[in-house]
Amino acid sequence: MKKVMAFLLALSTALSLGACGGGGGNTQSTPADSGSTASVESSQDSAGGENAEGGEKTLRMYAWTNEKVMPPFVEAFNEKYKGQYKVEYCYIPGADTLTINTALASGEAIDVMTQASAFDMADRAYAGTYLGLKKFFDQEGWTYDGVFGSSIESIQNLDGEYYSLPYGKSTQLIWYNKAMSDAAGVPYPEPGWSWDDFRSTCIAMTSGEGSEKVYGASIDFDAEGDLYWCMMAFQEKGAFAYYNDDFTATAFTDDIFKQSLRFFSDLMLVDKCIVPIEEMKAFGYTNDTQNIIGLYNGKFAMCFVPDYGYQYLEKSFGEVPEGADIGVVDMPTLSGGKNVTTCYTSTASIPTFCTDEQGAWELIKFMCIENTEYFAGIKCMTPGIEFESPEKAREFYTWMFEHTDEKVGLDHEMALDVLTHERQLVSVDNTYMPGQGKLIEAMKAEIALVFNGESSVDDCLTKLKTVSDNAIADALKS
Amino acid sequence: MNSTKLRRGKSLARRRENIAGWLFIGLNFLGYIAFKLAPLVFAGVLSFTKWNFTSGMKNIKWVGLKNYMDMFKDEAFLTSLMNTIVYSLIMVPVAIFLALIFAVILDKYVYGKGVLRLAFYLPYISSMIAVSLVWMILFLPTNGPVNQILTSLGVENPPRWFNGSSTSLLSMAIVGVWQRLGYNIIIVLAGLQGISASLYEASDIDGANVVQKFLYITIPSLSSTLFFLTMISFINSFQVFTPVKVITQGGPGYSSSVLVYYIYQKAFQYSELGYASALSWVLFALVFVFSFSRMIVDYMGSVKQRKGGTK
Amino acid sequence: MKMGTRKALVKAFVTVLMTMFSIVMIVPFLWMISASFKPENQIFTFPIQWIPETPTLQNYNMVFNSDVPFMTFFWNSIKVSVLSVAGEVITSALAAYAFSKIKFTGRNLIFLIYLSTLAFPIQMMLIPRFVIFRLLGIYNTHMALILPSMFTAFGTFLLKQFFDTIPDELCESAKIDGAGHFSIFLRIICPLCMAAFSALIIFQFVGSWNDYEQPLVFIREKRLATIPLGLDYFKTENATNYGALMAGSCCSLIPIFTVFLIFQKQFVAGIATAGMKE
Repeated sequence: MKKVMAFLLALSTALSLGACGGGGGNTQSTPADSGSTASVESSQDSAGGENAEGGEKTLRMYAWTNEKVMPPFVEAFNEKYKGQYKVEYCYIPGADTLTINTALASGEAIDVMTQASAFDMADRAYAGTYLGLKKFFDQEGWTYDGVFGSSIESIQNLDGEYYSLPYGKSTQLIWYNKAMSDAAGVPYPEPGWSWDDFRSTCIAMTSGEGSEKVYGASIDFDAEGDLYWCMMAFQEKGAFAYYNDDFTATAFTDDIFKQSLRFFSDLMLVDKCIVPIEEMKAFGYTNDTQNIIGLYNGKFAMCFVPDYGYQYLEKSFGEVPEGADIGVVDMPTLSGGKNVTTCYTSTASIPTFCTDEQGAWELIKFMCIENTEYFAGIKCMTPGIEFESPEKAREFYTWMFEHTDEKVGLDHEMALDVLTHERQLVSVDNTYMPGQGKLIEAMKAEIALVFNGESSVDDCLTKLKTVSDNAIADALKS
Repeated sequence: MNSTKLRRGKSLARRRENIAGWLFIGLNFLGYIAFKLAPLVFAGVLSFTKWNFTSGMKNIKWVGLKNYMDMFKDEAFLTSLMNTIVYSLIMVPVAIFLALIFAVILDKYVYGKGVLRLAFYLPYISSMIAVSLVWMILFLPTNGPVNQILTSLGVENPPRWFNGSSTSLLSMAIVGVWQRLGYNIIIVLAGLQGISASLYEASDIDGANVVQKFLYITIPSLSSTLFFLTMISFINSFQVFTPVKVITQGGPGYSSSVLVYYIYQKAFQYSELGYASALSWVLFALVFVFSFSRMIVDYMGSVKQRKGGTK
Repeated sequence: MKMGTRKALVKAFVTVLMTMFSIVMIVPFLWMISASFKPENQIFTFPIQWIPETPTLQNYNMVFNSDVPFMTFFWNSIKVSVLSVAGEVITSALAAYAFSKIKFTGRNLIFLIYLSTLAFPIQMMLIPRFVIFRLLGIYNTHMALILPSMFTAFGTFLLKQFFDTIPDELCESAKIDGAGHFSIFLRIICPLCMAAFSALIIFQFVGSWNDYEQPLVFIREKRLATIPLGLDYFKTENATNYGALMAGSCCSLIPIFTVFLIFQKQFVAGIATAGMKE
């Protein structure tokens, strides 16, 4: 009996050892396959990816960009820094906080980490995960706001230090389906239009009933980064619109927030001219691809799109209807005649445990400042930098349209024209940390209730202010 | 003389049993300590800290009992807690009751058992994204199929299902039952195989009908299975997470926010790992009391008895 | 004879009824299959189009013929799931036998501790485990996925409950015949509990196969990814590509079906009881 038992124990041990061997064996990646995937041996303790052959140091850059579009970036960087550095691209599956945090804590050598959330960036920066970048600006003789503009600078400035560079700013514009406007006899929206113009266009474009109903616009109020519900407040007040002057309380009960929320919720609940919240979810419009598909399939006449939306006008998603013609227009403003829109940034940072500080700086400088087309452009994003001139901007966007997949059904000329307009950009990012987690959470919950018709604008904003103010007070106390 | 020999024999036998017992659980126990207990204790330690784990162990900040104090004024947490309890109290009994009936039917009274069983098991293994999209479309308030039927039946104000604060939790419970049914059926089916056929034969002779057999043979014979099923169901329903994350994200408002979803958000979206760990311990305590009360009583009883015996 | 036909009729009627119920159960599954054959821009048509208007194999083509190594994910999933299941069945069965049939000191206390840990949300073990795996050096290996699922309180609890239903007299009489615990376990208990083993195998296989969060945290390399994590590679930047996702999910169900169909055969009345009568 003991023999059988011993055998069984031995068997299970052997099995687990076998698995261990298998797993362990797998971790030894050969140089041949280190091209695009991460290899683990190079830990943060090792001196970095020194390459014996050319003396080139390998820099490891982490992002969730599809590996398919990265080769031009890698080639261009390696060419520019020949003999000094070369870059290895490591894909992470998505920009979720957990995904990026585990990669950062994994002990892998990381020279550049990207992120889509300003909250996460600031959280990591305050925890001491990222390197301060001010010294590099001093070294180059640049100023942060000189490169990226004052709105973004105000967000990125964490107690006088900077921990990340924006490689792209997702700029909010409105796309519209020209064929639908033509059929309805409604004139195309014009730059400099007002929110009242937007409303009347939405109403004019709405038609039909039941499952055949066509809406004036689709706006995803659920999306956390876009913050469409308080678009007007940001347009009028600028960055950090939520807060009072000394950041000790929120300003959610200010008239401009009420006006903005009332305007959008009335569009949905009173005029019924934008896609209702339940259909946004059920029909997938909260997914950018499906939102644009809805636009060219004539489910609604307009939609709010961050500029990276261009990459979803892809043939591979299925036939775009004959004669589809998508126009682009600037965001309306309260009184019209201005050009102000919001944006949120995606950023790149250098972890304190990077293998080579100077090299990592050269890499983020390349991707965020000097050769933005290879990263932002290849993903159809507006780069974080301010263009020196409209010509420079035009050059960038022309390159972008030439080097990415064909944008089926897009009015390219119009898109180019609108993209290069002079405009004031307001960053909706928030790096003021006290109480912010609670603020985001409460906003997500309370605002949806208004669009659901279950809470009034005043009640909702009062509640939101109370919860947020308490959270801020609590955080400041400790 | 004789009695000491007997005692020695007894203690030898007991020692033998002890060794055998530990040998049998040894392998499992070691792994269990390494991969369950150790992380659990670690999470316990974390509940007294504030820590962004990207910055390494050295940056752990001790905050004492703050995380535990905070939760009592956290309205969203209290709502989630309440929602979790309500969800479990609706979902668990319904899912077990239906599973019992369906399992008995699928055991004996249908043709094509294999295929039908698979059909009932499918919700448990289908892609959650597909599940959520289909349910959202079926239960669309305005012109979804379910409400269209209700309207044609003369219901004037059909519910808003996932999109209404008053119905979202109930809708989640419906999805929960639907998804859990196949799982429960498998457990009951496995239990049914242990019931001796002779019991049914005897009742046939007594002229018992189907319902009587079900009540007086099947259910009592399944007591150990049902005990297991009830406990596991409560444990699982207290930890419901994925359907909420995919379908309602806890909304509208906090109406369908459940504890584990709330904990997940705190830990992995708002980087409050310490607070989330503290919340997990509260959940732990809750489930412990809820599910294991009977076992704890049993255990206390056995300890008392033993102590009484040695006296 | 007459009784027989009446019984058959009732059975047929019940079958029809259950088939109708089962349709409600398989609706999302049908949607999955249907969506996997649709181009991306027809997936969300409303009312739902069950039969694709312009069926396409493009999604399957993308799954199998793109630079994403789906077959590697598939193989990884098989390896992780099979080893997890094998390990769990063995360790749980041994432990369950001890908890059920051996009276050793500390038994009840340990069992209570085992069960109580089931109550702790698995999500909150991710980070502690992550830290521990880094220390043990098994982070980013398949062992990080296999080991935790090999030693589970759930499996032990499930098997113990079934072992409990086997009368102690059976074991006692074997003991009198000179059998040790191990041979009682192998010759008497195990054969009588095949249905319970099957249930455990089905659950654990599906659990391992569909697990997303653990691979997300414990696995960093593409070539070690299991299917649920690997499906992320079909995402377009910032957006979900539903067609490819559904095609991948459909393919991923095949092994689950296989495991289910093989092991559900154990749920046939008579197997367990046949042994008991002797």
